[in-house]
Amino acid sequence: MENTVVKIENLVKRYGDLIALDHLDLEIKRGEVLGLLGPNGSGKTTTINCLLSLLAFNKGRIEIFGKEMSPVAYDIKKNIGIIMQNVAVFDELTVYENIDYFCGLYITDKAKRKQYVEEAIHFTGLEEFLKFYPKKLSGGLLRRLNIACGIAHKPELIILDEPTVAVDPQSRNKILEGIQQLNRDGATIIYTSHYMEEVEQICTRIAIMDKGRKIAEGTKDELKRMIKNTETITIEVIGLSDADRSVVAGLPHVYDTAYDGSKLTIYCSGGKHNLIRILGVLQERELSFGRVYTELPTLNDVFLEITGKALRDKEE
Amino acid sequence: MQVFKALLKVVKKNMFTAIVYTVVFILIAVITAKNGNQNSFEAVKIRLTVFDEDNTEESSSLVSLLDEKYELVDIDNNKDDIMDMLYYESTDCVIIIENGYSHKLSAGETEGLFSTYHMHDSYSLVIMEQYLNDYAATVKAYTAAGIPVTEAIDNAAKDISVETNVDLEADSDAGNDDYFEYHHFAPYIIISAFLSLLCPVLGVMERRDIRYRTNCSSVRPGSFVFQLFAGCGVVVFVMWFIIVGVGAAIYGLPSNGRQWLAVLNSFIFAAMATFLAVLISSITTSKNIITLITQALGLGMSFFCGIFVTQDMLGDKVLAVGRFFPAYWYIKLNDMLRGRTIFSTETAMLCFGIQAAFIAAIVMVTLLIRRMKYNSVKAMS
Repeated sequence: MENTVVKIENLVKRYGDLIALDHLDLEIKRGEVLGLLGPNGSGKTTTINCLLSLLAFNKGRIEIFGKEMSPVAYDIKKNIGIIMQNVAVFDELTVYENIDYFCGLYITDKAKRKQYVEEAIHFTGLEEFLKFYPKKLSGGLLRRLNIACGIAHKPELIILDEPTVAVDPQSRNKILEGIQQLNRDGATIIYTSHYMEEVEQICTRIAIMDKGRKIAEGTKDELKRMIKNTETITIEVIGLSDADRSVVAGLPHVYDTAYDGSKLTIYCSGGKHNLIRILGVLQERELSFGRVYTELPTLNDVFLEITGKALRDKEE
Repeated sequence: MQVFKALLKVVKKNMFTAIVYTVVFILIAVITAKNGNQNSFEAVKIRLTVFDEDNTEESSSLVSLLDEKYELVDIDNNKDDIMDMLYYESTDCVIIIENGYSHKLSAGETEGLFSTYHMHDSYSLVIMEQYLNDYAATVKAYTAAGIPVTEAIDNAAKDISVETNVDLEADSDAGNDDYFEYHHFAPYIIISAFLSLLCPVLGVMERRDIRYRTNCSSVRPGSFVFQLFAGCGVVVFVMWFIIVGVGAAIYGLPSNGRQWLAVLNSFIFAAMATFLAVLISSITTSKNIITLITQALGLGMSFFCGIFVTQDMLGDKVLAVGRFFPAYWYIKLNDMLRGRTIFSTETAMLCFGIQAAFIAAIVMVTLLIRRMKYNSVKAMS
């Protein structure tokens, strides 16, 4: 069995002068949950559209399941499921009819389809809502219906394009659990998002995109190791002099400090027992302190350090 | 056939408006065909008020003559009453036979014999005034020939009382005119019902996110479009069949070539309306805009093309605008088939041909718009 499910080589997509994808290379192995992380306009959706052959690209090559992807590669499309950010279902059809319709676009055998539809209903927990029309469903149930429509035909590769945008935390957790279950059942998953905590939670590997380029790739630990910062320590302390701060800044593994009059922030790079050493300095200099907390780097820190900008737009 | 079946389910959900349109307009068409299309006529009798200021035997003869032909209404001879009666249309015209009427008539004068007053112009009043002038001219002709005035008056009265018998006969090739009158209203029903049903349905099937999901699937685009059109075709054929079938149920099955041509005419128009629905749904999927376009097209075609007001009553400028709509050619042909205008095979072919040309033009514009739209969709992705 081919181990590489998706192989994107040197992909270039231009809109006039704008380069949407800039020589993108990406490989996804069977059974992986790959997170495509990046801010709006970074090229995530363009990558997905090129992958699905909905969008012609200027240069490069895409292989899925070891075969070259093209608009007429229906045998490949048969094994791909897509779940979009928007709930794409018919308001005029019931829950059951919607799942049956979208499953029927892939599965023509009636008996097999019936079984698949029922399994998708069971998987998404929509048994009690089969005769409901989408307008009668809550936001969370609608998302579940959206997922059921995308996975009912049991695809080997599932693409989820920001499926949790504008979803309440409870429904979001259920969706993420569902995705992990699909992965455990054997599906390879591409998950695009700009919610780093989701990506951290479910993805086995992460590719960070910006301006149409893949700027980093690896597991979350690998990505975090790519950056200088390994630990950020914050201490509530009043009356810190410049001399005190200089002593702290001179400790091993401390590469930067910041003080706003009440809160001292110390950025460390590597090393062990950084907190003990810093607290020792404060005690020696008879400085009383309040709350102390440390933070490990997040994907946002990774993104911030690599690209120089925050992952999420301010309004989000 | 998932797309086909889904389309029929969506149609079922959107059926109500189309049923309302169809039922209401079939009723209107039936009622209008029943009441508005009779092969006989009755001459309009206008109401006259006559003041005889001459008060002679000659003037009395004229009053008697007018009494026979028109309905005389008595009014007091004062200005306010006369104005009120004219204003409230209790009388259509006031005629004053001027003092000296008999002298002038005997002298062969035709000017200044009487004065007429009325609020509005109408064909009937013009004909009535012509009648008075003809009467005076005829009397003058007789007196000029040396016939005494009394005898001239009698002769003139007899002469102008001669009426032509008018019989309205239907074109023998056309058959039951009610059948064509029913078909006369079909364009409005077809446009309104088809567009109000098909546009929202196609709008749903073409909704961007649903289309996206469909495009990602293993369904071939050709199969998708085929199923979409097959679904529309079935729906349109059923609706057209109901409209034509109701006509056949009420007025009988088509019994001659012209009635079959009327059926063919409505079928071609229905095909045009179907493609028009596809065009509109390619432009917009907004229900409000679709309703607006449906109303504008339905009512616009009805007023400009001679559905609500017959083409022979419409002005040249209106008809010139109407020629740019397929309904004009539908009505022109229907009028010809029912015998309102002279039937010619060439004109019939022209009407069919122009409707077919409209279909071809609509298909081309639709393809162009869809091509532009999909390119722009790709660019936005």
